[in-house]
Amino acid sequence: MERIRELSKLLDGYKLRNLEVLTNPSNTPNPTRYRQAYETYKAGKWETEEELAELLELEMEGRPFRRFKFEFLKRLYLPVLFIDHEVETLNETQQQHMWCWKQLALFKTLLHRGAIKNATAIAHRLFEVADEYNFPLAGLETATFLKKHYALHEVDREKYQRYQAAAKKYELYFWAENKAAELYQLLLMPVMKTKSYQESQATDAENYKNQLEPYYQAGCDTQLFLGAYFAFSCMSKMFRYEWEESLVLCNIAIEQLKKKKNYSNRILSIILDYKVLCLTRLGKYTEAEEVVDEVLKFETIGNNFWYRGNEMYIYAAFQASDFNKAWNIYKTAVNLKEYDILLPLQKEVWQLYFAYLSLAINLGKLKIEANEINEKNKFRLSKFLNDLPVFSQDKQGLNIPILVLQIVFLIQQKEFEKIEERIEALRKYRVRHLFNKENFRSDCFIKALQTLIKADFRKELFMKYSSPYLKALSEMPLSKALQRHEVELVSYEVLYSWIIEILL
Amino acid sequence: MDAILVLINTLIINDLNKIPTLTDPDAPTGDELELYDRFFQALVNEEIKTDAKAAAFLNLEEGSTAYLEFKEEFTTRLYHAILFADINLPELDDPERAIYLCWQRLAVLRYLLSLGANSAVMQMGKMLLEMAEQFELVPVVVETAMHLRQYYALHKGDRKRYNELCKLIDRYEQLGRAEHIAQDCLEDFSIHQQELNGNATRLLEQIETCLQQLSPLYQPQQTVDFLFAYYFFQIQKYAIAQHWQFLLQQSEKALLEIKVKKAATSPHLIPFYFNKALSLANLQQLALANEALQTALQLEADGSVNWFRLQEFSITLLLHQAAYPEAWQRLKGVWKNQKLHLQTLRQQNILVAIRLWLTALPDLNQLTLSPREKGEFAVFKNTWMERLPNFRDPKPLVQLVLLLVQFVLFIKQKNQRLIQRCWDDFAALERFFPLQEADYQRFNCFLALLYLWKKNGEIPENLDAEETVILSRLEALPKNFSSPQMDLEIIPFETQWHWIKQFSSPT
Repeated sequence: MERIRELSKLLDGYKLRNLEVLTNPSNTPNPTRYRQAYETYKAGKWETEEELAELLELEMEGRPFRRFKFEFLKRLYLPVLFIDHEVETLNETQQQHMWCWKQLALFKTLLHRGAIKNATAIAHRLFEVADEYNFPLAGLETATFLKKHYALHEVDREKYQRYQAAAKKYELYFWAENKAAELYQLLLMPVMKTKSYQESQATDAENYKNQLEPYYQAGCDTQLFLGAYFAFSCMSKMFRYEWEESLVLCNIAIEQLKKKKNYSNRILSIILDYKVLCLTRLGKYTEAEEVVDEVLKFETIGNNFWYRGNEMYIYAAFQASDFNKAWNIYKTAVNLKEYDILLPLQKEVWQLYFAYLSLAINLGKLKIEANEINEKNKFRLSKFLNDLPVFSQDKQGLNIPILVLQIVFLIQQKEFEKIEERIEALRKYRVRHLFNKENFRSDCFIKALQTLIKADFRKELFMKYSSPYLKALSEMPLSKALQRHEVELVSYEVLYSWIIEILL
Repeated sequence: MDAILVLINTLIINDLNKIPTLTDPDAPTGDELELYDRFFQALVNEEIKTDAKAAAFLNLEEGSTAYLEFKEEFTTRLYHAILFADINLPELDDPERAIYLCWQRLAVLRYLLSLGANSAVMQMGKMLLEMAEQFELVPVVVETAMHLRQYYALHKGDRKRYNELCKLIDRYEQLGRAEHIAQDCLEDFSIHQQELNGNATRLLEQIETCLQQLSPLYQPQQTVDFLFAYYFFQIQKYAIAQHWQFLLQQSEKALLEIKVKKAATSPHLIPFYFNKALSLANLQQLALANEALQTALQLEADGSVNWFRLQEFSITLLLHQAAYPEAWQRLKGVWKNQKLHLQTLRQQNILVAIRLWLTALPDLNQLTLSPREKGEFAVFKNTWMERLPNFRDPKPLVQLVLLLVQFVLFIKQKNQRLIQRCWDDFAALERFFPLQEADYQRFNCFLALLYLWKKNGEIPENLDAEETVILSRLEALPKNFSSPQMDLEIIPFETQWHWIKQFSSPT
């Protein structure tokens, strides 16, 4: 009863009748402007800032509208904490972590508004959950508060020492997680702009794992930390394109992560993604798809991680030449509302998929319903080439599939003059950018394409002149190639066979 | 605007259930909400204080499941109401508010991240980072910066921003570690303080140990919590050693460095204002000391523990400056405060003791009161002046102060019987006070003067030679406003002696 009385006294000073929760159903005849804005958006009456300003009869550039937006935003924050997190897509650990975040916000609110008895009660409960589900920040914050409580208020040396030890442990874990995230981001940052091979990345991965070793030895076993620790271990092999060894390490990591009582699906899915890549590169497409299914089960459709999982899924489909499946994945992904809010860089990947699928359609490799593509979403090569600003700068990486695709399209359209121009440009490009061992396959394939001119676009001659390069390709299969997987979305062997089919 | 749209879409897509709160302006009347409202009003009006009364109010049995369920649901609604209650208030009118807003926003940010709403998170994250930095919320800064860094590294490949955020996190890691060490020191000290039970030498050792840990980390750029702990130990050191000049310097330095920080709250500042006032008072600069106390009082909430302590000190200083009307006005305000009865017994006693003196001052021709005030006085006077109260205080401070007051009054009245009763009562009370201790030197001097007065048959002419010696000894003894003796010296002993002599005089 003491706690309830404390809360009631705290709330006594507020005009509770003015307490407004925008997401709660309303039946008031005179809604506030905030509620009006929320309800009308829900009813589809406005979509843009201009329309909202008009609806509220405010000048868009004026101060009252700016003030309104600021206050409106404030009112939209808190309901987010009431989104149901007890959903199937989140496992128990993730649900508990979400619960912890909400309780942490409540704990801090009560603490800093002087409801000490309630804050203390919540801190106790929150600490137990944070401790059970390994949530360092909640563990650290509550242990820090409770040790202070047992030192200064309800003096109890034994309890003080218990929470002091916990605070020290979680302080270590908190910073260990930060270090792990810092190194993980550092390692993967270059990959965001270039998919080209960087030999140093394998060494870096090893080095970063060593940097985390002291924390690992000190017993840090939070999911995020272990995820990064094992990811470095896997990546030290993956960046060397040693897929068999990588697969072994992925399996070890997955086993270790699953051993923990309350493991996080999201962290696990990072390693599962690696496993998909390993399996795909090893040509084990069915197994890869099974793992992808496992990953996608964890995620809410349309969130960032779901898109990441589907990138792996579509890649496996491309590699298995299952264009129907690839098309279905593509359709589902781009037709979601969430696709619009993906970052431009993420969208470029999906544009590339569409380009290759369009090629497959043009060549009759993929049959789709006539109404699935209209004038609006029809593939246009020139538009495509201008729409990939990031990838086109990645000269030793993702610019390669763009250029290769362009040539194959031109062959399919029998634009021989343009092909001659492009192949000369491609030759120069090859000499300038593809001299490294990691681009060996691309180098071979472009050399093979160059023979089109000498062969005067005749099938037999092309097969004859290009055969040494095809042989070289076969000696360096995709599973052994030192290149990023996205570079060869459709394998060069398959593309070669398509060209042969086109030529007379 | 992007953030607004992402938030609305997130809320709509996730199809929120109704969030139960305590009141709902849109709810139809006559439903269960009305019951929650009535229950809430009964709690606020203190009609319900126990589970038994609460259950009776609800027509439920105290231990029943229905009652427990009601309590749980009601508590949940209170929590939700507290989260939503101050949405109308400005963002940053005080640091405490900024702190919980930052934590709420961080939780929202994490929810949005888990829903994959990255772009909204970034806009919100930048604002949150700025606010958390201003208020030195190390965990919020680090957690937010980690997410922003992830975005810049893995979505934008922006190495420059990544490096900047790494640097920021490193800086806050150092600040956070220092803050935790400082916090540990404060807590260790607090536990030792209780265990050492005021052993000054051991406390000084403990303070030195803490300062050895904190001094190498000290720099004005540390967080306000660190600076507070660091200066707390500095002032403790000089206060225990009674180095008032150093105490003044350190208090002023602390105030200078802490005041400029946005994260500074009144609990961070008031101890230093108090110690500034204490050192100034002990350096005989009573007016300046009172100025420091007034500044502290402006920061403190009316009726808090600190507010009463600061008021008590301020009134004492006014009495020591013979500013009796001001002291009376101040005491009236304190006396009327409704939270007086919630204060410690010592705090209540000292205010009673102060009032005893102020009650006597009109009779001693030192204070003029309006007729209405005289009426108020009369009630108090009747209660306290005519008899020794049976007080629960193990050290009967009030009785001893009452004796001192009575002594002067009875001398003025020349009532030998009552004067003798004072002596008898004093003999009974003396054992409660460690008068032989150094802290009580001034009181002992004053006592020596009183014995001298008794021995010499209350004839002032006979006091001269010996009095001069004792009085000059008393005057040479510095006043220490932090000593327990000051509870007895509400009016300076020199002044009390002056009045005794004045009223003993046959003229």
